[in-house]
Amino acid sequence: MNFIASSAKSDIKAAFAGSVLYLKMAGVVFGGWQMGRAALAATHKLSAGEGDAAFYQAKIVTARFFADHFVSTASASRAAIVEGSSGVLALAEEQF
Amino acid sequence: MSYTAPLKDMVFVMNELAGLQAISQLPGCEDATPETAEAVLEENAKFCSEVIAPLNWTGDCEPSSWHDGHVKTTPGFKEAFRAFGESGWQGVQHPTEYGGQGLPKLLATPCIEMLNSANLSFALCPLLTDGAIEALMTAGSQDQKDLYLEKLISGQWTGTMNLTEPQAGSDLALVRARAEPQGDGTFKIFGTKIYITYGEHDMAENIIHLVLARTPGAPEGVKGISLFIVPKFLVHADGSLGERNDVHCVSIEHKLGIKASPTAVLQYGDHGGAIGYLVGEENRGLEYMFIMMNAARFAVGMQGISVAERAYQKAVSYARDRVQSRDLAGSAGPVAIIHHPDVKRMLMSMRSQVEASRALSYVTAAAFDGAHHHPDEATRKTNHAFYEFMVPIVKGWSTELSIDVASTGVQVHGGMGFIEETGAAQHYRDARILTIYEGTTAIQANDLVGRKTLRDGGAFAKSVIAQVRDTAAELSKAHSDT
Repeated sequence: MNFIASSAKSDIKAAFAGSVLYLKMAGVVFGGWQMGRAALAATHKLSAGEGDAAFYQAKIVTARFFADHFVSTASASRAAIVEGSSGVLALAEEQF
Repeated sequence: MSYTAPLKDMVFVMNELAGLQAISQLPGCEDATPETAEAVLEENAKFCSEVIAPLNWTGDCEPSSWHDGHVKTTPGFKEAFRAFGESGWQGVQHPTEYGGQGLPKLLATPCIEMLNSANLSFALCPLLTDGAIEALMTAGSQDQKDLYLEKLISGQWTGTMNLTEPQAGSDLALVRARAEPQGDGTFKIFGTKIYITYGEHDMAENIIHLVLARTPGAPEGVKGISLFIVPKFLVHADGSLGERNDVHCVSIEHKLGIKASPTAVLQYGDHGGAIGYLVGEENRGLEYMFIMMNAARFAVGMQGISVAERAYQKAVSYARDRVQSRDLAGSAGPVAIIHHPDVKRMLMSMRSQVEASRALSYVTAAAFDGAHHHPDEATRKTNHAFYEFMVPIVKGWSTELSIDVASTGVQVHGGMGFIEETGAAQHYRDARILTIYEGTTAIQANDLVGRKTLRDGGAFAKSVIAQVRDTAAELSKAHSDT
């Protein structure tokens, strides 16, 4: 985000080169955030002995899976967005 | 090929993550208690799985067809749409003054999810009608609201949004349709609009087109576009139908997916000009459209979640039934493929993406309700900022993942997944439009970066990240406490 904010002033195309990657990363991070909240709520329900235990257990497992398989990739996008922005733009039209 | 609404998860997300109880205590939302919510959802689930879902495959095999300016929809769609309107489902989130149920967005959202999971093509008609309703609510005069809203909300009439032209898609500055003032307050509209979803069909007695066009002398670019109501049949002051207006469907598209949804080319003014009524002020058309667009973008994000859920259910069902290969951990004979690690991984991948995107979207819907109903102004503002920030993410991310999820669904089915009759392929084809229409992923990303992140130097984005960090800290603590 700091990269986007600072590039926008000097090199607008570099700021936007990774915009879709940034959006997808944001989705994964914020989706992961909600799954984290879900895991907390499910844990609370389980310890209170309320409701459908199997459902809450599955929710906790699913949240953990999402963290390990998707949220873990979010930081990898950083390199593509920041260091990788020049590579997006470097080829001239004729070189494609 | 059936659909079972994931009510347990929907209710969990509404109650535990989106704060339904708190929403039901806001002024104007008193009807939306958790008990009412469950009842509404169960009723909707029944309707969607019994009436709408069985038509999904039919829609793909017998899509809508065009002949001589008329469009015949898939057999069964007309009756289903009448039932949909008569049961009040079009009006779930629309004002009671015009015959709607007046329920909060948080309650309307699972209903939209179920309708789209049941039948994405069918659900597009109500989705576009919602857009027309939003545009009129936002900018229509009292007379226009009184004339059009009730019948749009009841499902007697449907609505369309007419922005795109052959040379103007992502770039609406290039719109060329013209509106010529007639001197009596009305205009005559001329031009071609393409990709108009449900631009022509046989499911209702009238279609209310909302059309972007330029008036004479309007400034160049986006600041010179006005919004007009152009009904298929003119409407008398008493609400009865009058003359056929000069708007005609010259063809519908042959598409990769959402085949039952008629995607029309509409010709305005080939026979002297289509009568159009200005909505709001001249040259503010795009501004009004943007308000409607937020709602439409959110709805398309929900479509992503819907088709992903549908694809997931189908893949699970197949994986439980299909027997191939011995269990890696040892078995007497071959086992159902759901026992194999990679199949489980694919299913978990589908499941977790659906659950995460559902959670984010319902929380975003709740923020919309907070923005509109919370008595405290500062709270309304924060909620509004959250909603606006998340809309491009809900649209862009949920739709991108829906294509991956639907593709994984085909993979789980093996060779049979590639055979149309199995049904997994339809979800994969239907999903493919979702990252394109209502603003491509790049457009959503531009909005997220340009307007939502950069405009305040990243301050709001950082405030959301701070909340994410708080949750992460709580999780660490909970983990270390056990």
